[in-house]
Amino acid sequence: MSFNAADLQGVLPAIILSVGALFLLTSEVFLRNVRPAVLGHAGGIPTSPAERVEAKLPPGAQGASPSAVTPPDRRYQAWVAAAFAALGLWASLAQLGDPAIAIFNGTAASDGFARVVAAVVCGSLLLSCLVAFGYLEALRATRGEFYALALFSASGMCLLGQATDLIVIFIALEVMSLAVYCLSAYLRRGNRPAEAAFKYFVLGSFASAIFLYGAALAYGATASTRLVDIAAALRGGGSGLLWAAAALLVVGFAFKVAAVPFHMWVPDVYDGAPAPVTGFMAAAVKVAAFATLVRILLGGFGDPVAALGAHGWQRLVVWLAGLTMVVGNLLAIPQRSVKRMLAYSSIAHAGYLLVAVAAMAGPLPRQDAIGGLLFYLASYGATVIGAFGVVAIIERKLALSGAGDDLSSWAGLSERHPALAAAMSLFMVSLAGIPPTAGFMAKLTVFRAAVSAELVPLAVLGVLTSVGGLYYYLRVVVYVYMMPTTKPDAVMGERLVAAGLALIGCAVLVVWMGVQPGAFASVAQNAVAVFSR
Amino acid sequence: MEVGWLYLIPLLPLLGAAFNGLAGRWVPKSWVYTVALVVVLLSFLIGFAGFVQMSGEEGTQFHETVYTWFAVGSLHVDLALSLDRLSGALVLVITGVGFLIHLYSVGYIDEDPGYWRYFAYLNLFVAAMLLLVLGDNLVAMFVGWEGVGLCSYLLIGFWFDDDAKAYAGRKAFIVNRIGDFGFLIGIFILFNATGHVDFAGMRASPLPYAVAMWAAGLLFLGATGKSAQLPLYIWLPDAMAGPTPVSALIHAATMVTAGVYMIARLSFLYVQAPGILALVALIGCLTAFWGAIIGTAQNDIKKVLAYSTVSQLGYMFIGVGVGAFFAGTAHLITHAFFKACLFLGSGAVIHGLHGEQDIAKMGGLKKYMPHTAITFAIATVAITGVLPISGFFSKDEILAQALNTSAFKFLTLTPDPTGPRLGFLGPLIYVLGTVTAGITSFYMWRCYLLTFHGNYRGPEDVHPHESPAVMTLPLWVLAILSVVGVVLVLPIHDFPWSWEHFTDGLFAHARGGAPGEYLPPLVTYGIAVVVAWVGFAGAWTLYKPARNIAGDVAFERATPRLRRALVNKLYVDEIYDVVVVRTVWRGARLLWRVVDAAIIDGLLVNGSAQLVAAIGALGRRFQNGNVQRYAAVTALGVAALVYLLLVRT
Repeated sequence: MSFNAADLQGVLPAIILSVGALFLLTSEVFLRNVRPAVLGHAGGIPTSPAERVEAKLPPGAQGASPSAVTPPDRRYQAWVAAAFAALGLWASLAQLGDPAIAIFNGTAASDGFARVVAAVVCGSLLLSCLVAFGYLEALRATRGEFYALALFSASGMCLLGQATDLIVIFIALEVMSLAVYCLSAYLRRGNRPAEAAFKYFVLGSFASAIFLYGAALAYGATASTRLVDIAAALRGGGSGLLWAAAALLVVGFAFKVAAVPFHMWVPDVYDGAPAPVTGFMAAAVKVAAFATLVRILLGGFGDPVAALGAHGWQRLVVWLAGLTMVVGNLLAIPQRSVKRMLAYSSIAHAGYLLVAVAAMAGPLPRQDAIGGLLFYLASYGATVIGAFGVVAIIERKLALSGAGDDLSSWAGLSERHPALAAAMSLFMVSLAGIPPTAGFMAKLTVFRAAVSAELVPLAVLGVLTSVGGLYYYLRVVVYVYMMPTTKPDAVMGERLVAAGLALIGCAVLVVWMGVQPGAFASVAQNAVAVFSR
Repeated sequence: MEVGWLYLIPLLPLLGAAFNGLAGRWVPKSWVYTVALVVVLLSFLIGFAGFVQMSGEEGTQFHETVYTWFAVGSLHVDLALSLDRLSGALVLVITGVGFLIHLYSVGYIDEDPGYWRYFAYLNLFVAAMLLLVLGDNLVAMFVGWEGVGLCSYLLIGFWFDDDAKAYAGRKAFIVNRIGDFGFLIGIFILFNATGHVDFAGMRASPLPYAVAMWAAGLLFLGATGKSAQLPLYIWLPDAMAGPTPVSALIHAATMVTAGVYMIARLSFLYVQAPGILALVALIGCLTAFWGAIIGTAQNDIKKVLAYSTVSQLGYMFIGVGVGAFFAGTAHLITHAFFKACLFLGSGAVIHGLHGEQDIAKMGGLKKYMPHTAITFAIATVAITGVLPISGFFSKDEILAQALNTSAFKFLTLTPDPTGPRLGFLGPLIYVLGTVTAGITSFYMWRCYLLTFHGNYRGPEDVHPHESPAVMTLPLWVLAILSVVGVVLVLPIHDFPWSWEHFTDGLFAHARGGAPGEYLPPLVTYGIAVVVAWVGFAGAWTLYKPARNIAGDVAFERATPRLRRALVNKLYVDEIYDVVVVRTVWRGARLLWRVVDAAIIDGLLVNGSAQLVAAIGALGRRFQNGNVQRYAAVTALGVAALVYLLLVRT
């Protein structure tokens, strides 16, 4: 055991993100006019609904009475966070072609896979910061910890993509999760965010415990927490203890990716959390969790005998994938709240992603499946951040006018805000998997990988459930374009510079990945070499 | 040779379309015009510069892979463009004639409130047509092919608040879909057999005979749709519902010739399927005749020109069908000049008469619109061939090639190799084509005489007037091109401008060897001139200025049944209506009743809605927000997973 300073180079994105978070936290100290009244409980919140509307305050938002000191201008924080995210993105892309190395005595790796994961995480963070900027400003809820928490969680995600030791995985998982729990409770007032965060926290801890149990079993079977040692033990025969460990480790991350039957927290949490946070969770947490799942399954249990054999995990993932696709899509259909619909849709997409994981069990098409998984994650991230970005804009308008999130509030959006309507339709079309969008290419590559891995029934089920998805995605488009406006818009003509920038970025990515997927496939190519034998 | 600027040629008009379509409504009119004209002109200039560079040395080809469009398994499709002598010449025609027609449109569409939409569509059309011509693989070509079809639909139905016009647009679209279906299957077959979609790759892989026949035949089905050949020509006359410059650009000069271009581009495929070549020539010949006889009795000036276009396209298909790909494409180019001129001339007449299209209500317009009359006359001379300018030689070359071809000599009608040979097909096509040339001369001179000679027969309150210079200038340029276009088709061997010489080595050679010589060239020229003058004489006898429209009455008296059938377009639309449309309608009704209403609506939609509702209720039972229950479900899930992995083997 020795510490090698050069290893720090390998976790550069995570370091950049942590430094950014610390910088933001430190900068809080130097702000003027920061008084406890503003940081903690707000004094003088208007109590009656009429007063709230007058003050343009959402129910439950932090308010400032005329007598209170105006809070300091924290708008720089979003831009600083975005800058650090961009720096992290640049760092991970710059290292993309470097040779793969094991760092920190083999407990982590710096390889193409980790770098692509870090790039997607940083990209998601960048877009989410831009989306959050206008949202928090409009709700007057910009506080010091928001962007710092986001940066910390992203650094945890980057580490998750790199970890090759069960203990390191657990630490990184908790770094990510604790920050995300806090983020989902960020709008502290009101019941729903608190309830959502509490559920997320309790159930998340439960899942972490199960993961720890699996890690303990693995250690019991192999006397090591390294994935390579587990792989070596498996080649020597393996034991029942190790199979139980595999099942428990998978559950730990099946929870994070929202696979059925470990999905139950998703609708409540996605619904309760602020929309920019939900977008970030749907995009980045999924990336990190899937990356770790792939690391554990391929790095530890990747031997074809172990994957396909008598106790092989492929069957397990196939079951999870099938269930998740069917249940996610079916439960999304009756939803009338767009945010809840997107929550169930995120479950359904986890199912499609699990199809790619199942396709990795076979020896041959592993390249296709890994490339497909990463492409799917990136395209889903761009789409879902965009979709929640639009939801964030609608939601804050609704919050200010006191209405709930329902499809009817989307009616006639095309007349009121044609650009938002077009963007939302693009994202819906991409989620539904219609060309020429990223969603189509992503589904195509994943299902193709499944077919060449001889998982034809799973691919067929995937296509059938995607058809079901058309119903609830296109329903949004129908409301946006074909229904007459029922509610007047609360806030008109505000400038959406940052969110607009993010939405344009997402839209460009969605179309670009759909029209020219080759460019992104070559980036993913750097990642697939890691797990090839 | 790889170059890096080819993409600009189709991209510029595309940007113009984007600008006019997105911003055209709000920016000043002059911006719309400027952008629309400048992008096409720039495309022309780039194309011209490339053409000059490329045509210096024989066999030079500029190629550019813009990017890899998609690669799925073994299917690898680049968005690749190539500029060779054929596509280069067509780029010049499309952008050159296209620019003139854009210019003319400025005068024509100026008063319409939808002018920005019009120019957006027109720019988009030019972009799609350039992609069709420049595309270096069948997929890129198909994108262009569908793109021009879309623009054609949009522009035919440009005045969509008129039901008849919207219907004409739909008809064009649906009839074209039938052909496009064949085209798409043809692409699939070729990819399946060769593993390539790019032309060079397909050319390098020899095809089994049956595959070549099927692929060539299905692609030709696409060509009959797009290029308005029997039996799918019926959309083109109705397509005249669109603005007249559109008819000139899309439905005469460029889009409808895409089928001819496609066959010439795939000559290497078609020579492997000699039976299909014979079919192409036969269909072309029949269509030429068919269109010409219907054209003799039409009174709508644009319909006359539409049937004339159908007929002239038939000549082009004869040319490529007999293996003389250069002759078919040469006629494509000369036809683009004189037919665009004729259409723009008719547009000027319609414009000058405030929308009147019936030649029975015209007459004597020579006096009021001299520029239009003279240019129209020049183009009529070119198409009828009474004097040896461009159209004369390009048409005669096709007919002479048909007469002398050796492409069909070894073909038999039956699989029995000793059966009768098809050697007679070439001379037969020559005879029918020559008769058609006489009829062409008749109906075109009839049209000219009735429109511009005699006395004005229109209503008193309409005062015919000449069009503005922005419209007459393109007419003159096109008329001059119709005359000087003759340099492309002069029958002088090794003449540097000769299209035949210029395209040496570009096309594959048909099987059966070099053409023979039934008749010496001078004799065929003599016959052609005589036939053209006979047609003119017939037209003059019936419709000379002193009699004019009374000629129709005489015609009717002589052959009442024939003429009535011709006026009614030989009842083809009615026959299609009974045989095809109603049958499909009945079948669709049946399907609607049984499959849609009963099975899908009743069982699947309502049934699945109920199922979903049931599942939703079940889901809500679990999804009730109770954390303990969530945790319990998770624990049960863990147990199930462990069981799956550990116990069940």
